[in-house]
Amino acid sequence: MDKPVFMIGWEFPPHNSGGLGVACQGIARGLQQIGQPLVFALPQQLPSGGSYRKVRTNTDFVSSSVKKDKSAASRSVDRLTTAEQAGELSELEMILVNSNLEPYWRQSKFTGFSSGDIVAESHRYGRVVAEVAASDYPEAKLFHAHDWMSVPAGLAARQKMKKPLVLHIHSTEFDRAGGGQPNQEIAEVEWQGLTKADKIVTVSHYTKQLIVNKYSIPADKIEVIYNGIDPNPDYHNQPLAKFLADRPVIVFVGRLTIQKGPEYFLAVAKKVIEQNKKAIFVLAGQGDMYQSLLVSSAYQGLSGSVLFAGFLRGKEKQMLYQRADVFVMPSVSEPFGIAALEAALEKTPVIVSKNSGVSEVLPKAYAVDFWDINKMSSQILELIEKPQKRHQAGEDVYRQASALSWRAVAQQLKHLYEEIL
Amino acid sequence: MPRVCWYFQIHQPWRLRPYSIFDVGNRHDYFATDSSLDFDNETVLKKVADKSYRPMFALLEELLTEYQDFVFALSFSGVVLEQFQEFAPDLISSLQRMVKTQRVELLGETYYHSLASLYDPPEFADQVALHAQTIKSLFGEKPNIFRNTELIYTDQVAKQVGQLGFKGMLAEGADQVLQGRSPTKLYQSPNGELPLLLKHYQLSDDIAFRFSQRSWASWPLTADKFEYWLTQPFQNDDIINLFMDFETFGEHQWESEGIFPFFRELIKLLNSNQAVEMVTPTQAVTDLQPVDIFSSDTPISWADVDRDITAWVGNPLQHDVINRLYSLGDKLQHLPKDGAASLLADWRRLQTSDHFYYMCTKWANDGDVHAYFSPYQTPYEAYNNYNNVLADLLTRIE
Repeated sequence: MDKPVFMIGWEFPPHNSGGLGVACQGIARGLQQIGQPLVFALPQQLPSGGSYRKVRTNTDFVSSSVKKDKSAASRSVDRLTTAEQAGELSELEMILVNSNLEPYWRQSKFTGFSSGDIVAESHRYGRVVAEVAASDYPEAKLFHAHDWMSVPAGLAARQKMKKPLVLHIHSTEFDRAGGGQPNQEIAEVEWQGLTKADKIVTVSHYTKQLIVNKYSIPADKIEVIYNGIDPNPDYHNQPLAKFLADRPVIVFVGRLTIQKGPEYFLAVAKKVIEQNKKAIFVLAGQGDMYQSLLVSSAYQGLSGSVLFAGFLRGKEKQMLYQRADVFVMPSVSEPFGIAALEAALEKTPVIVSKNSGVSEVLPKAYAVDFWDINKMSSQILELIEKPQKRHQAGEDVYRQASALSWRAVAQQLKHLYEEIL
Repeated sequence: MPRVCWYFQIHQPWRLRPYSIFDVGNRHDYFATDSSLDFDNETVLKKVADKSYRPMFALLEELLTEYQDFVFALSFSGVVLEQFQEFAPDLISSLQRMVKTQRVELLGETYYHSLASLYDPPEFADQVALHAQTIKSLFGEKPNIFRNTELIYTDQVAKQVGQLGFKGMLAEGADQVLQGRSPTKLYQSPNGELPLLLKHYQLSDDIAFRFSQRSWASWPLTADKFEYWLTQPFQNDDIINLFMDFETFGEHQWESEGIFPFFRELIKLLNSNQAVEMVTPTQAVTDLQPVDIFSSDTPISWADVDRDITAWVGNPLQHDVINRLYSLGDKLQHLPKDGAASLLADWRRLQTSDHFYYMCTKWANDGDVHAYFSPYQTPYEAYNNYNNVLADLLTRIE
């Protein structure tokens, strides 16, 4: 049997707050499908205490006995997804390292963490991961770490075991700063990882270029492997299908944070509603801008027309994509943007920021400058007022999205592993 | 000789159920009861009935029998009467017995405990009429004196209240309007010359807010002490208006703190005290002559330390939902009759001031009072839920 890949991440559904968790799940599932063994290390707050524990689980949910924290535990775990795919997958071995690392620093800032606390915690997490790797997985062939919080772990393990490190970049501090000032401590961790890793994978050419420009990393060290997507589970639930009836529905799905451009979405909503009073705009997601967005929406007179759905997952998220007439992703900087693929799989027309990786795999999506309120508004008005056009736009992106798969991503990764070994 | 005028306010809103975006366009039972919720309307009403309404109604009935000089005023919103009828009909019977004694005056107000007086004067008149009809049919009485939602007062509102035929109105004895004058006299509004009874907020709040407060220098408050405060300093004054929420008794001030025996003892003392007389609002405006004008163009109320309307319309969240809601009034007038009735009722229930109170983001002295009464974790959640309902209502109307 092939030797395992030792993967290091920091979120995994159902305890995910964004696309990184979805991508980690997809990659793990894809590697399993093509017969590449792997073990996955994750930070998780362990109520039972101890430094870490191992669990075996399928790739769809982490065993219910290891709830991450109170808020994560209270989120709904949609087991429908499990039933469908569990059969075809072998169990995944996970190492849950006791840690309270929170995925997004800007969100954590909101709960009182400083970036310094989180950087320090990522180093502590890294030391535990390296120890576990050395003692329990000497046969691992390489380390594959995802984003900055896994960098200290990846570097520590690489040094301890003298095995290559692949650093997979789903998002950089420059993206998350949304055009503002990046956090220097975090950017420093990223730079260390990018410099010392043996190979870098980015989820788009957009991100590859950003890393070349901002971190002066040679382009030939970076390989682009786009994210994939697997077919959405087929939910048969008619009662919900009627919601928001008779209204054009325009949807934003993402963290409510500066990077994702939710305030541009509100500006577009204002403009579209001036022309079409029936239009309803829905923002699904949580984030540090939640309260200020509510106030901003009300201040612009958009109550009753702009709705905030909170963080949706599973069936509810899919229902929203299905119902949407237009999906909009006005990110200021978006390395990839899996949500756009999820919408495309429901044949929903997609408008995406030109500053996004996903536009590279969805050439039929409408690509716009995130600040171009006029253009986005006129595109939305056209799509909601011309059913024929909307139908065609939905079919176009559907065809492109459904050609993608996590299995194909895994094959590219496997090829990359072979190259560097 | 000072008069003492008691008035107790009874109100419970129809709280919204949790209403998600997936409910919009899908279900219209915004106020449905659901016993799995903490703030289920039926559960709350039954809880408050057990803790406050039932024991205090029983006490008031007893006191009316025992003490011939005991009189007081009650006002209830139409929406709380709906809930009494549905969840605790015995309370209606008790109220009917009290009203029969002719010593309990029922006041007029808006059926929906709304802010319509400030946003939609014709709608305000309709809601006041609807309330009067309900009072007439349940109690056979016609309200004579008006109390607006949360004692909200402006000169303009007073003018309309006068035009609607009321003989007087209650208002907060707000310092910013009284400017050093005492609330212990009868005042009148500037343009309608409507007699105004002003709440004595210090003495009222001694019972309503401070009764159980151990950090208060005057704790514990005894009936003797309070009787002394009512009579001694006010020998040359006309009237002390003690206005408070009915739920003061048993809900805000707990039975275990002795609020019921305190009130019983106080009424006993006042009944036998020759230096003081208990009066109803109608008796007060009949007996007394207004001494001065009480005038305010900007709204005042009995809420919070601000005594203005910022508890309901103080931030953009509140402003916008209220503006959107009241902008529907014209459209509703022109809807075809069939089907319009349930829309109109929903629109009106959404006007109940409590919905906006839950969205209040002032977190000064009054934050904990707001939190206590809110079914929501934060004012933002309150807005969010209401916003979804508003989207559904807009879909039905537009």
